[in-house]
Amino acid sequence: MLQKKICMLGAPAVGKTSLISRYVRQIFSDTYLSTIGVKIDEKDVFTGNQHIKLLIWDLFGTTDPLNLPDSYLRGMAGYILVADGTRSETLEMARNIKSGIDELRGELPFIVAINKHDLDAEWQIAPEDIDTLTGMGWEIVITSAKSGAGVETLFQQLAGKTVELAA
Amino acid sequence: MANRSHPGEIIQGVLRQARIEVTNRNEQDELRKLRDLLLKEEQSELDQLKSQLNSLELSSEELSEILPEAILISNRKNNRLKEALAPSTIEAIRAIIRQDPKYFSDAIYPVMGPAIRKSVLNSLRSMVESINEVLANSLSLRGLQWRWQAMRTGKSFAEVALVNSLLYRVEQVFLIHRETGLLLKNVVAPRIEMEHPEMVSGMLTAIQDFVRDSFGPNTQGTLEKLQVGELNVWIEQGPRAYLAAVIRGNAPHDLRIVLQNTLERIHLDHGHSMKAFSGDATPFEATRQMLASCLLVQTSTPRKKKPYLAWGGLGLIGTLMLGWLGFVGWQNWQWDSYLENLNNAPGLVITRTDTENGKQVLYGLRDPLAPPAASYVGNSGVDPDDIVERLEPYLSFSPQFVTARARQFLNAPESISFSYANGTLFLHGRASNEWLESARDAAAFIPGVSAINEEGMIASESSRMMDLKIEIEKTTIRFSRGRLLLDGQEELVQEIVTKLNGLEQLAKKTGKTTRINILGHSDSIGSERINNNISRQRAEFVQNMLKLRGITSENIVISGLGTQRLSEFAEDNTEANRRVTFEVIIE
Repeated sequence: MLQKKICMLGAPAVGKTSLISRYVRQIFSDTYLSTIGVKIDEKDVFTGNQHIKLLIWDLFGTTDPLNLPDSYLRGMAGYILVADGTRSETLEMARNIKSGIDELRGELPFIVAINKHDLDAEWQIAPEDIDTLTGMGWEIVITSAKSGAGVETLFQQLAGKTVELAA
Repeated sequence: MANRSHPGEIIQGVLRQARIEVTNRNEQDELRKLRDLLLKEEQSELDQLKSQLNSLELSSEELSEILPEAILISNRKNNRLKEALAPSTIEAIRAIIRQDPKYFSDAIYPVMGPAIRKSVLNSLRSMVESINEVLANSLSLRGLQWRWQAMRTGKSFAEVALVNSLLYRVEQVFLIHRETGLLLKNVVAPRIEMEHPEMVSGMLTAIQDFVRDSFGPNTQGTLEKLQVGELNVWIEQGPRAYLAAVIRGNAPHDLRIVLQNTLERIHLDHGHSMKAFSGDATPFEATRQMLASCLLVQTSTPRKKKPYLAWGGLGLIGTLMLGWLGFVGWQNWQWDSYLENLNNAPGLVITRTDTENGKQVLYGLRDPLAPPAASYVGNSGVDPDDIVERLEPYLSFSPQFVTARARQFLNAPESISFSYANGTLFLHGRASNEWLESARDAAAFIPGVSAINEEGMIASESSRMMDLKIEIEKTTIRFSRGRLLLDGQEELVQEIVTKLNGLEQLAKKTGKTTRINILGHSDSIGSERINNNISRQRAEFVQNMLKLRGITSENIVISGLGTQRLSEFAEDNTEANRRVTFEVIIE
C-alpha cells in the first residue's frame, strides 16, 4: 500500500467538500474546515495491482493559494482543482491557483474537476474553453457531486499520476 | 647633537650599532636554520603547492588528493592548522545558522538531544536529592508505606513518592512523516482499537500546523501536548518525523525521554528512508519494535496496592476454604446422620453409597412397603433432591411389614389391627364372619406368616348384638303415677322395637338366642304390695306395646320389681323411679 497526500483546492462554493463527501471515508466533521481550515478524509484507490490510500486534505476555498497555510500544501503528491461549471470565473480562478501552486511547490500532478454537471441549464463553460485547457496539458474531468459522475475517475486518475511520478 | 658628542661616546655608539647588526644577522641566520630544521618538509611541500597552484591544471583535482593528507600530517605535528581554521570555521557555522538554523539543528539533532538530556538529568538528580531531604521528615501512613517500599526496592524515597503519584498507560504511538503528515508506522496497546490511523495522522499534522501558523509563524516552538479529558497526546518533534503518543492518565516526564530516545534512534536508523519517503511505509515496519517499547504502562500504583489485594485475596481464599471445609464437614455430618436414620429404618438395607454428578447414590434393598429412602432425611439437612436410590425390592419380615402386607393382602377393614411374632399373625378387633373366613384361608399365602391367631377377633355380628344389648339396656320408659306413659315415651318404645328386631336378625345369623327381661319399677310412695303391683302392671303395659308392634317373642319375661332397684341418680320418691327397664341376655 502507498499513501499519498493530496489536496482539494478551488474557489469558495465550487462544491469541493460535497464532491468528495459521499465517496470517501470520513471520521472528522466538516466543522474542521471552518475552524482550522482543513479536514482530512481517506480514499482507497486501486490502480493496476497497486493499492493507494489517498489522504485528502480538503482545504477551505480560496482563489489565492498564498492564503493557504504553506504547511497544509507541504508534502502533497498531487491535487485536485475544483471549478464550478455554472460559474465560468471559477475556472479562471483555478488557473490562478495552479500558477500559485507552481510557484509555491513546483509542478505537481493535478486534475481539474469541473463540478455541478447536473445543473445543465446553468452550465457556462464552453467546450472550447475546455479544449484550450486540455491543449495546455490539463486533464479535465466533468463531475457532479449530485450524481457522483466523474468522481471515481477523478481520484483514480490523480492516484495514477502520483504513482507515475514516483516511478 | 651627535656631532658634539664625546668621541668615546661616538665610538661606543658605533660599536653598539655594529653589535646589533651582527646580532640581527646572526639571529636571521639562526632563524633560517631553525626554519629549515623544523619546516623543511612543509616548506618544500608548500613550494610544491605554490607551484602547483600557479599552474591551473594542478589546482582542484590534485589538491583534493593532497589536501586531506596534508591536513592529517599537519594535525599530527601540531595544532597550527586547527588554530588557523578555527576562526573561519566558527564564522562559517555562524553564517550557516544565520542562513538556515533548521539545517544546522537537523544536523546536530541526534547528537545534541542525548547530551542536553544528560546534563538536565544530572541537575534533576540533584533536585530529587533535595526533595528527598524535604520529604525525609514525612511521617504520614502513606509516607511510611513509601518509605518501606523505598527500603525494599533500594530506590530513593523521593523517587518512590513520585512514582506512586503517577498512573498512566501509553495506548498508541504514531510515527508520522513531518513533510506529508502521512503515517509511517503506528503501534497500539493490547485491547485498544484504532481505526483509520492514517487520517488521524493527517489531522494531527494539520492541527499542529494550524496552531503554529495561528500563533505566529515566527515562533520556534511546536505543539507538544494535546489534552482531551483523560487522554493526552504527547508530540515529540524530530526533523523528518514526529512521534505522537496517546496516553491515558498522567505520565511522568521520563516518558518524554523515552519518546525522544526512540525518535532519535529512528532518525539515525531510518533518516534516509524518511527523506526519500513518497508514500511507501514498508521500510518503517522495522520501527515496530522501537515504537512498541514506548507503549509503557505505569504499574507502580497497582503494585502499591497489590500486597493489600494479595492479602485480601489470600484472606478471602482462606475464609472461603475454611468455609468450604466447614461446609463439607457439615455436609458429611448431615450425610452420616442421614445414613444412620436409614440404617435404623425398617424395610431398608443400604449396602453402599456413591457420588455421581454431585448426587449421592444409595445401593441396597428396600421393601416396596417401606417409604422411599429420601423420606428419611428428616431434619438431617440433606436435600432429598440430592439422593438417587438404586435399591432392589425385597420382602422384610420385620413385624410392621408383615402386618402391613397382611393388611394389604387381606383387604382388612379399619377395625382390624394386626401384630406379628415368630411367624404368627395376630388379629385384633371386629370383622364380619364372612371376612374372617376368607382371611383364615388367605393368610397362609402371606410371606412370613405360618399361622394366624384370631383370639382377639370379635365377629362383627356378635359385637353388633352387644351394642344393641347395651343400647336397649340403657333405655328407660317413664310413667306417671299410675300406668300411663309420660309424654314422648311411645317413641322410645318404638326405638326399642327396632333394636329388638335387629337383635333378633343378628341372633338368627349367628345362631344365638336372646332373652328379654322387661322390668317394671315404682317409687317408694305407698305400700310394697301396691308398688310391686303397679310395677308389674307397668312391665305388662310395655310388653303389650311391644306385642302391638310385632314383638311376639316367647323369650320375653316380665317382672315387677317394686322398689327393689331404686334409681341411683334420683330421690326414691320421685318420678324417676316410675319406670320400665330392659335386660337382654344373649346365649
